[in-house]
Amino acid sequence: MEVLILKTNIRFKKQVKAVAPLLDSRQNIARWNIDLHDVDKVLRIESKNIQLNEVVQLIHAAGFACEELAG
Amino acid sequence: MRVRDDNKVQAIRQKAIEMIVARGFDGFSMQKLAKAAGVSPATLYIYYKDREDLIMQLWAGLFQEMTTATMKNFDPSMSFSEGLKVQWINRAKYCMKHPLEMQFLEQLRHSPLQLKAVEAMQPFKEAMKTFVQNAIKKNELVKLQVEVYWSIAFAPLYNLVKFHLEGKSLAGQKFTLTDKTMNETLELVIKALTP
Repeated sequence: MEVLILKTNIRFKKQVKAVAPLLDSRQNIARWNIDLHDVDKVLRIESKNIQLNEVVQLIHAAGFACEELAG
Repeated sequence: MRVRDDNKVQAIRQKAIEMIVARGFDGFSMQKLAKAAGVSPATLYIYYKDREDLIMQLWAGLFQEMTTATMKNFDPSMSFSEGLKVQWINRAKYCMKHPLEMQFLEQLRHSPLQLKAVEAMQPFKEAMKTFVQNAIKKNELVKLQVEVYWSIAFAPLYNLVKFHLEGKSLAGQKFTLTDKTMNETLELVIKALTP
């Protein structure tokens, strides 16, 4: 299981609900959550071999900014 | 895949406690913590799901340590005076050794996150409840409202410890909590609680 950590501009619960179906539908995403209390609004994904680009595109498609949080 | 580095985790925990005690939960963020602990924010999210998960994991670890220390040599079937003495010694020792940790536990107790901690606190609460019920049954303790009981049985100790940690008491007088002072106070407490 790998952990991807991404910075987003998803700020509200309503917006989380908007991206939820996209993330839930991915079989290779085991678990995900967004830390709304954090300034970076971190999207954390536990997955089996999902590519970072794939997630970024998914979130972009939903109309939000998304990039890898520098490790 | 990154491996868990226990030294790093230890540094994260220590800094988190220091920051929360100094600035409260509202002033606490993953960014500030990452900076203080010398790790990247992304690293924090490897170990913790989110800010709340970090706080609750921190709490669970500390609560476990605190109760283990408090329960050392203690048995709920002890006589009231004996049991209370063990509790006083253990609690005083823990508070003096871990003042920051104690303050963190206290802060969580007064925050909305407390609701999420109720379940984990149950075994400790049960043990203390059994101790009190036994003592009442054996007629070694007066039956009181739990808040009143706690305020008489433990609040004096925590207040003395507070004076001790500040190094001074009322009007800035110097104060050190000695075994003698503690025993004298405990005797008065037991006297007050004996039927």
